[in-house]
Amino acid sequence: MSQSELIKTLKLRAELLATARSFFAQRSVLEVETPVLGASAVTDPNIQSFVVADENKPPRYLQSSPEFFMKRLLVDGAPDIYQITKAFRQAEAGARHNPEFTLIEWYRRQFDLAQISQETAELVQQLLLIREISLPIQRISYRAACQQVLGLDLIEQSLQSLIQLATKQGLVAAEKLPRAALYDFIFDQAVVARLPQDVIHIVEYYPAEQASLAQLSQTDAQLAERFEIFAGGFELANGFLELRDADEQRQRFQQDVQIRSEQGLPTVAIDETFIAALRQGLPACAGVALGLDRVHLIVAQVDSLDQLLPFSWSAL
Amino acid sequence: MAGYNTNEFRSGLKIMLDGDPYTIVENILVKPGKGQAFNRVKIRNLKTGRVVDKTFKSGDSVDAADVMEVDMQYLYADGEDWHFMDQNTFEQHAANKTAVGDAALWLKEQDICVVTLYNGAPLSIQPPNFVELKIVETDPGLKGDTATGGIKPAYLETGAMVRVPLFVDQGESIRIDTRSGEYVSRAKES
Repeated sequence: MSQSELIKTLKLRAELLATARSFFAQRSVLEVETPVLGASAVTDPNIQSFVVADENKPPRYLQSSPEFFMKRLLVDGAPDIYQITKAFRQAEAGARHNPEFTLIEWYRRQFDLAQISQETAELVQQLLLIREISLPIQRISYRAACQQVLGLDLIEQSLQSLIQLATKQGLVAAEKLPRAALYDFIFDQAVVARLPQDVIHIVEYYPAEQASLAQLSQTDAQLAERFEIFAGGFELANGFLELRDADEQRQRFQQDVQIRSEQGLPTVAIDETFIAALRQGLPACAGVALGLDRVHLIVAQVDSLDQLLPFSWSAL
Repeated sequence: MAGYNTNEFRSGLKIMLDGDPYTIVENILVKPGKGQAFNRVKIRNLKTGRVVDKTFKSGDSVDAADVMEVDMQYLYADGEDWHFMDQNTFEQHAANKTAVGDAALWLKEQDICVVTLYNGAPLSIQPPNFVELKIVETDPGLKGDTATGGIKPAYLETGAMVRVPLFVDQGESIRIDTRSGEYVSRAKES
């Protein structure tokens, strides 16, 4: 990176951070910090945490997201909160992935999915405006997006037809994958790739298999109260109407642990302090994580994080 | 058979898929924040040359293809096979018509080619980027006509047909870019 490119990327990053902070200040959302090194890792089989040695004590884990600590703050009575923090995920390196990356994560009490997703899209809109990139916001359901692009409702397809569809799109050994992974592949490969790129898309109501930490829809058990934001052809944010039922959450974690063992992935213990906090009572809230580096890519109009980060992962 | 995990994927890696050897042209990690990671690759079939888009679940393994690219000297053709020699080991390899394909149009004895070996046998031949070949037949040259920009067909010693400027004559050697099959210049007198 030349000196002028370096100064350009540093300045843009500073502007993005300042704009995000003023966005939350205007809305009276409180900036917080939580530990980056936790005593537990996430069970999600698709996320591998970095393990950090601590002399002869049990190891610590670099956070893959600040979600659990932030929810514990809410349980303990914190108001609406946000955090701009580094998150870490093993093996996620590529043009649009860095194993160490920056998340803007926030939680809003009493917000529903429509409110939190709208607010996220508006933040993205404001960040893009830093370089006069003005994109409209469009809301579409996961189902309608599939219908629009593929002409069919993915959620209604049998496992067999999902496998066929994925194979047709070039997935090798599709028959070995569960529904959730097939959804991931088909949605990214066939749907997201064909959504107009010059729009900030709010895609809402994901399949229940992909609920993660979201509540299931009250009106349709096939759907989860989860949304994502896409712009420029890729994923920028992921948010939930947060699951508050400790038993159901524990059950989902238990399922993760099971899948980890089946797939030969590292064993991860369930974060019982988080489950205990949920039992104590998480206030009704919605939350979201926005990848700042991804937004930076769009604003800077470059293709690869290497052109953006002064110290890219592969060249440390 | 040796295998590769998707985390070893990089361009140039040779893998097996559906019984055919492929080389990876491009490898991209695709992963939703919450969800399955995939390696989206462009791969070239080393038998047909066709490039296809495929996606592997990250963490999956694929068989390695026993494929090597070796610089070899082209020796001669015997009417059935084309013969090449590895200049390090002096080992000779016979490549059949399928392996040689269109490269036959540009093969001149003693030129150094890249021979792709699959399971030890030639799978494809890549001629040098530039070759010098003699014109065996073309219309008489128009002396001094270097300005009009006209072209005419010329037949080379290998049987290839190339379009050449009007001033080039039968019996002359010309330089050709084998990637495009186009005339570059008259060959320099050696």
